[in-house]
Amino acid sequence: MAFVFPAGSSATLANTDTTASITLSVTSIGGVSRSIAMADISALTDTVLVKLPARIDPGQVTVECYLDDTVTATNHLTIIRARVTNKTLSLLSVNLPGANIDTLCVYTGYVMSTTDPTVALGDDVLKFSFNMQITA
Amino acid sequence: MSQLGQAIRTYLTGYTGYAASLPGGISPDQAPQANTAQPYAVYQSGSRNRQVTTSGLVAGTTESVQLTVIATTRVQAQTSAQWVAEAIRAVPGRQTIGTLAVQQWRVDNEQAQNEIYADGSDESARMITLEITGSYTE
Repeated sequence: MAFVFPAGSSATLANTDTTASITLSVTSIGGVSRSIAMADISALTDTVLVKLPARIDPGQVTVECYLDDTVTATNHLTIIRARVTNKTLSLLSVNLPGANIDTLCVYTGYVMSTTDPTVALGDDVLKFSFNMQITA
Repeated sequence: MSQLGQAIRTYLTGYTGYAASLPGGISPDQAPQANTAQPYAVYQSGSRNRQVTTSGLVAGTTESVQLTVIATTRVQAQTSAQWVAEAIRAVPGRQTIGTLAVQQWRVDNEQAQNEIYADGSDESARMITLEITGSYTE
């Protein structure tokens, strides 16, 4: 069995209704926690809590990218900010280096927030991040 | 080969006051044997770190270069080292030098040394080493 390393991973962001996409300059993708809420169906007479799995929360995904020096109108940060204001349903496709897992990490959802670069003295390339609520 | 060192050399040789401040020139590692004019400078790469995306694209490279000014007197060494530091500080941000897109650079550290020549000379080499850190895109 072959395992997967992070190097070589890439990610694209697109509208769900078009094929046009941008390839992000990704430094990290993560934070996805898929969970299911447990419903309490205990009766008053029960001595032990009775719980059953109920609704699934698909979670959120956080992506961190390098800030690209393209014109403001087509800058990736601008495009992602617009997805917040326009409430655009987005498709984030993570292309992992593995040969068989192309669709393992594909997320549909809405960009909830963006974080602008922190500008401070140092040698690091400026980065920004965004957070996406997964809906499916 | 130090890319930042080469860029520093190109930049300084075109900067006002070069001939007076470093008549012996700037060389990688060590000065040519025929070089007799002082002060002169040599440079060496200290470290080079690349910041990459997960896909492998190099977003930027940060390199540390040690540039050593060598002179016959302490005053000469100090004056020439000061000229180098001021030249670097004059344009601290983005600029294109040759084919290299320098994003930023600065003088981080300065250290004075004295080295006695092995040939029995009365005079020693007065040296000042400047550590110059810069980031560039390749």
